[in-house]
Amino acid sequence: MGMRKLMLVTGLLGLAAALWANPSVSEIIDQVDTHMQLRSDMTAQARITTRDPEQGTKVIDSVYYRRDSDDAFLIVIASPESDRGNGYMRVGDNLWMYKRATRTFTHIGRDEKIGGSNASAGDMETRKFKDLYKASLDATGKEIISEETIGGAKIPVYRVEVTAKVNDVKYPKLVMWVTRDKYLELKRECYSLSGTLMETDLYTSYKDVDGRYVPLLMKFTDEVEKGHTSVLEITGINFSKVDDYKFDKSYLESLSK
Amino acid sequence: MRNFLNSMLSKVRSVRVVSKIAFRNLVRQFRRNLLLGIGIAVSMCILVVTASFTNGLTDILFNRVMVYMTGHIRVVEDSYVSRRSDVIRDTPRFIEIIKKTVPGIKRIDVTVSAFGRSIGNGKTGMCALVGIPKDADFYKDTQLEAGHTEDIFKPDVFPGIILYKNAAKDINVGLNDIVTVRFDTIYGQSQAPKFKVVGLIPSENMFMDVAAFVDQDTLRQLLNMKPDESLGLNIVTDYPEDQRRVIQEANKLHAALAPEAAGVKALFAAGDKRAVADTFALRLDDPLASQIAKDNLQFVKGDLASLAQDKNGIILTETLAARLGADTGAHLTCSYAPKSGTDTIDRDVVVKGIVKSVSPFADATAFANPEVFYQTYYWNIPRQPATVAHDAPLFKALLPEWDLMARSSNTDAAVKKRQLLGRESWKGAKVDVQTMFENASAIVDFQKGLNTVSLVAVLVLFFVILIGVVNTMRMSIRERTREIGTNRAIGMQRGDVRSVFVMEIVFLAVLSCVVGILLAWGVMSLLGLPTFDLKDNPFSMFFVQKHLYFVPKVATIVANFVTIVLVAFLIAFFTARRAARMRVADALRHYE
Repeated sequence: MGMRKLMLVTGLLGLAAALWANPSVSEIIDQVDTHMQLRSDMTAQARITTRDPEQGTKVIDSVYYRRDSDDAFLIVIASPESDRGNGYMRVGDNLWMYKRATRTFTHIGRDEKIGGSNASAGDMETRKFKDLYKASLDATGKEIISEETIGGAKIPVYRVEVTAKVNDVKYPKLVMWVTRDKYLELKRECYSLSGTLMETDLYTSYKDVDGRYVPLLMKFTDEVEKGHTSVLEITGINFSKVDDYKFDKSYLESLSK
Repeated sequence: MRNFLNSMLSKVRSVRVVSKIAFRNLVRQFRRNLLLGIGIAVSMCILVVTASFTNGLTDILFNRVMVYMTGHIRVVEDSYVSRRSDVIRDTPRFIEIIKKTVPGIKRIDVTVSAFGRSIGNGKTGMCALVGIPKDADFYKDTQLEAGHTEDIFKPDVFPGIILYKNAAKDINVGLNDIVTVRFDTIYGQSQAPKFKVVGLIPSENMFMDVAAFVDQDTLRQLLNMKPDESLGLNIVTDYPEDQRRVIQEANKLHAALAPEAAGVKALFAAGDKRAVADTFALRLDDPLASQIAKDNLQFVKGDLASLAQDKNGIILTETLAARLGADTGAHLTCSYAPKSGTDTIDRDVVVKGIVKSVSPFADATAFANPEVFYQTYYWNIPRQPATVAHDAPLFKALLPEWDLMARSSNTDAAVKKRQLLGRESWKGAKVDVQTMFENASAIVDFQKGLNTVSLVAVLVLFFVILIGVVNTMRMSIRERTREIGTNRAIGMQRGDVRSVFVMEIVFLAVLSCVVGILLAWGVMSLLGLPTFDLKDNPFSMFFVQKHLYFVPKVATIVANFVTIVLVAFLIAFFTARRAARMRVADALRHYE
């Protein structure tokens, strides 16, 4: 009887330990991918406000379209007037930048900046974290993960560190703060290849839209050139089907007429 | 023989007498000849100074600007997989081809550079990082205002950087200060390393001020480049001004850079079975190439269409399939050792077809979907490449190492070519051979424009000299008509009369030219003295260390000298000939 009790208690303790154990970094970034996955077409308005101590403030309004079947996207800039009609498009493996003034498409890479802001064309792709990053390991070979709280509201989060698996990402190392309940990313520190903190991103005002969590406000702060910030605000989110013709170059050209 | 000798002696005596008379006449009409002489001397001075200044500008353009921007001939490789990068993956091989093909090479500069922003003490600025190899002349040729050039690669907490003085001032840093430079690696990864300022170069012009110099190996690592990679090759020749020759050698180099098929000796693994095979990729996006593949591949199982539909697809020869025990649909791992680095490059592939052996390929050969190579080969060239003869029937259906871009004839054509490249969707690598003449034909045209201005100045001055000489001659002849008559009457021949006047002018021209050349030297020395501090002025590129720059060339000076003397001679000859033909009686009767 005593032995059985002991085994039962040990088993219960083990179960409790398993239930209370931190998830692994891979599990966390898997969850982040799952929550961020749109699983449908999407249309939204986006406003990027860029502040530069030397060049002042610039506001770019754009419309974002996404086609789920092939992760194609289209960004059409609506303002300012100097950039109106310019666009960025990804179809298949090709990323294009369109300039209304010259009516030309240029083949670009993921690192192309959108309208001079800190956001790049690659940021608009929905590449899965788990395809790009893996858990960073400390000197003992353990994954770097800890429990913390963040912000004035002391939101419980996991702090995880990840390292790029591929070469063509902007930041080879990331430190992420992800909520413990819903695995929503709240903060991200982006490090360069040489380990310098380059940028701090904040993701706030998550909205549950048809079961998907979309951050409506994102702030990107340049940690190298102090004073440079970009704020991305998302409004008018709609998950209904986007017509295929919008992902054709001729559509962008027609907007210039 | 005696008569000949006597004739020669008599001529020599005659020349001596005529020369004496000519020289005496020069002195006799001193004021008039002085004025003409001054005119010729000043003209010669202007010609020498103008030509030297034009030569100086040409020297600056070709040997101080173009040579660092593009070299005289430049080889670049553009690649696009998920992003554009201008990386030559196998630099030693390209250098070998260049050395075999292009004669008269002074040096080949391997470009390792990055464009970004420098962040100093509270201020930022533009920065073009230039990697300098350890054996470069830069270290002994560069005069620093402060610091030591070799400190660039001295072991320290931060690697060394050398800045131009104005650039350092703009970002509020000095010697031993720390500068952060922000740029992207060749893969687009962010970098922001810190450097210690170990030297300051006196600023020359606003274009050069942007450059900052670091150790090449350090920069290569920061750019995440492999040891054999570079961002371009600038060839410096010893005949930069010979446009035709430079273009000719560039054309030869272009032909020599014809690519092989992209091929790898890869190790295939299927379970516990292993086999090494020559592996190539098929150009499935090219209809012509696809047709060649269809015509030359005999499928036992599967087909080309299945290969095209799967980005991880591969076709095996029967022999290879048997060695691996693989059938269509089998999953294999394909790996190879890259030329640089120790980690093998691995890729999971799916068998989409089995074909009979293809001549002249090895029995164990594989043909992959091009995407397999785009994600592997073009990032990491293999240590053991696989090759096939150019005349193999399937050669044109294979993905090449690179596509060779057509040569451009001028800057406009080169610009259009680059624009077209930006507008097409393509993957893989493209190699371009450029000369400075099409890279910057605007600068070359500017140099030609300068030469034209110089030529116009020469013509104007010769015209001035012509007017002066004609005028002086006519006045002189008019005043000495009776003298001519007297000389003729006492036995002087027409030829001698003519020779007197011609030699007068020739002596004057020679003396004046010599004075003009000496004057030009003085003027150039004086003009080269003042310092011009044109910090943000584009014309600063035309100054060397803030001084006007002259390059007098002996050949040009001699040519101008000979031309002036010849022009003077011809004018004098035809004018004096008329005087020599005057009738003695008419000459003696002449009154002013």
